[in-house]
Amino acid sequence: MPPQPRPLGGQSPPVEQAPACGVDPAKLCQGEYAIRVKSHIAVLAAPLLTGCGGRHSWLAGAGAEARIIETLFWPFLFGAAVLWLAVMALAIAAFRSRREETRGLVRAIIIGGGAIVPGIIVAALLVIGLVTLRALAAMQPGLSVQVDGEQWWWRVVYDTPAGAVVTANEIRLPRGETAELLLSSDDVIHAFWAPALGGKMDMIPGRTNRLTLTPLTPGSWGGLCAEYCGGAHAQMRFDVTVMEPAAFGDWLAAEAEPASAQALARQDGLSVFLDSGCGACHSVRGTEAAGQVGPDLTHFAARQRLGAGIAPLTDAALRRWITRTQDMKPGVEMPAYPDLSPEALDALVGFLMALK
Amino acid sequence: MKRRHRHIALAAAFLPVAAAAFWFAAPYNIAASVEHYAPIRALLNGYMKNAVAIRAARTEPPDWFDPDDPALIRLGAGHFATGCAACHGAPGRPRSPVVRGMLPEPTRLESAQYSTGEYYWLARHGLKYTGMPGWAGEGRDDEPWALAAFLGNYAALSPGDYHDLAWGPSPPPSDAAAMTLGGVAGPQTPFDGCARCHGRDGLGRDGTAPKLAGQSAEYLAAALDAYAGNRRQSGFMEPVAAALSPRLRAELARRFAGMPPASPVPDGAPPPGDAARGRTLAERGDEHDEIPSCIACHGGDGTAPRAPDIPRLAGQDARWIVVWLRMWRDGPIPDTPGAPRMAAAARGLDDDEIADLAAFYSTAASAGANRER
Repeated sequence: MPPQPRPLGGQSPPVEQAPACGVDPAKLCQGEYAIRVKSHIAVLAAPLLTGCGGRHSWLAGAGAEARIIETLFWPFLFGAAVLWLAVMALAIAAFRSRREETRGLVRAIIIGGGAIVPGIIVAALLVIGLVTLRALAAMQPGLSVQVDGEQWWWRVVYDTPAGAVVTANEIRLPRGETAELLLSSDDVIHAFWAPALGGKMDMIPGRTNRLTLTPLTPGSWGGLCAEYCGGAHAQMRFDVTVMEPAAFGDWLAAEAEPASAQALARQDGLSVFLDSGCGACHSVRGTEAAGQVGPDLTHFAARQRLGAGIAPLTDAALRRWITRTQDMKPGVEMPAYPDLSPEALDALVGFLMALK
Repeated sequence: MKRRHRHIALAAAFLPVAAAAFWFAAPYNIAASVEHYAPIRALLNGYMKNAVAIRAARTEPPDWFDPDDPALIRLGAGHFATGCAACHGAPGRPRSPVVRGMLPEPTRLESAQYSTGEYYWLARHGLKYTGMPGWAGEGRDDEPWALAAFLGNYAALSPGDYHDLAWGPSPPPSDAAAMTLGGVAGPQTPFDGCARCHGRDGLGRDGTAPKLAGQSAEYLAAALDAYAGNRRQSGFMEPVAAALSPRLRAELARRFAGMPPASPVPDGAPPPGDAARGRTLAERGDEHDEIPSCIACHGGDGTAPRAPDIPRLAGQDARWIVVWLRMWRDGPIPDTPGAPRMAAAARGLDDDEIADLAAFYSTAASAGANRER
């Protein structure tokens, strides 16, 4: 049997079992050979193609900006392919030709291929790029969201007529509306990137960068910090949830409210939360917890994920986060609470999971 | 020329053999009962003095260190009675005859000629091959300065002065008797031992030691247990806590916890920080420097901690608050369950903010007077 190419990614696509064919197992039948070649191509291509789908793919085209960038990508790719073919053709021709024959051509190739053709190509790309940039800049935002990068999470503040609405680690946006993201940082340089929706942009301490996103496809899209920012950089993620405008309006109104009465009725859990000093860093509006250092937890349980997008928000994950914080996210600034009694932990988790 | 080289080579080959023979046969008597030869004694003595002087010269005292601060001198005296007097004697107290059998004999400090920095270095690090131990609280670079302050004033102390400093309100062991080895045991009770520094009212003898009155019994017992188990570092507290049985530690914790906290009366100059800024920081924290609020755990004005394992801060002496916050920031971090939380809280503080917090909490209102959340 020929050696199997090893899949590059984690998933190994199905490889057909060699059917019994003749006496010699090392000898392949003709049809089988064709299947095998195909499967080899599949094995090689699958890991490459997995990058083209999913919630982190810029080819998902979930936002107008991502689509604009995609339209920029194809001409670039086409141009690059043409150039590559031309250079390869020239290289082959150069190997085949004799020196005397090409003497007259050299000057033309140097001037044409070194100055004129690249000049035309770069000028054309510049025009395409500027037109694209103009299209990106022309998007008129209807919603303004301030996003601050922190080590290692995201502070999200919606600017609404009724005042600022503070949340963290999950950004919800209305479908079809252009949102303006005002990006900054409180410590080191981070970069905001929700690939499915648009380009990435640096978050620089002391200045505000503006990025517009116009989501088109409802759903949950992934985002991440795209600039190394310290130990837990790889665990600095977020979710962008694209909602229908009406549902988004309802959500934003709910997010502006203090913690639900249902959560505040869980007196035991609230006491554990306050007496353990959680309020020194976290805010839960409607209680005396008003800390500004860490993520606002007023509607914590309405988020999909925990610890800045690193784990689905479940009871078990939350317990682990509270008691073994450093294990889940090494370097995180939140200290762990391994010494909470089981009853206190139950009450605390119950309270937090009720913060819808 | 060649011949000379051959001699040198022979000597070089012989030297290790001679050294090995010396090591094996051990002709130099290391018995403490036999004095050093005079040249060797002078050599060792001189080397020790040089080593101490050079290292002490590189040691900077912390900004809060005042060699004439009475509270610091009392604290140093209190620890001297616990940890040093057994070997070095004390004003009016001869050394135990056992100690006089040591070689080198522990120095009588009346006639010692060390600078404050040298006393600090000696107390912090000790001396190899002499029986002089390093500081019992690992990493507590701040604590031995109290001893340096005390020893800087040692020569001028009468036996009465010393008793007042080291024993304060507690009855000292019988006067003029030789020191006993193995602790400060005298006719006193364990409570008398605590009261030497913390006061019989638990109010800390004007800043000598932290105020214990008004702390919860849980907090005090946990602190004593941590000191006794080497999970919390302090050269002052570890020796005394380790000498107490767990039952006794719990009993003493209850006794001090039951004492009424006094309203803080700022005596003398106000602390250097800005109390108003300290209050703002304590109440709100600082989002940009990652400083959580203090009140979320320690309560509104530091009088009513949120949980029994959290200490009361109101009215503590400013110097103690500075020393603690720097310890929480720079280490050594105790090995206790809540310690990572306090360490995380202190991580972002700078020295000015620590001074502000010390000014606020040392003058914070007494219980009930100004409680706010």
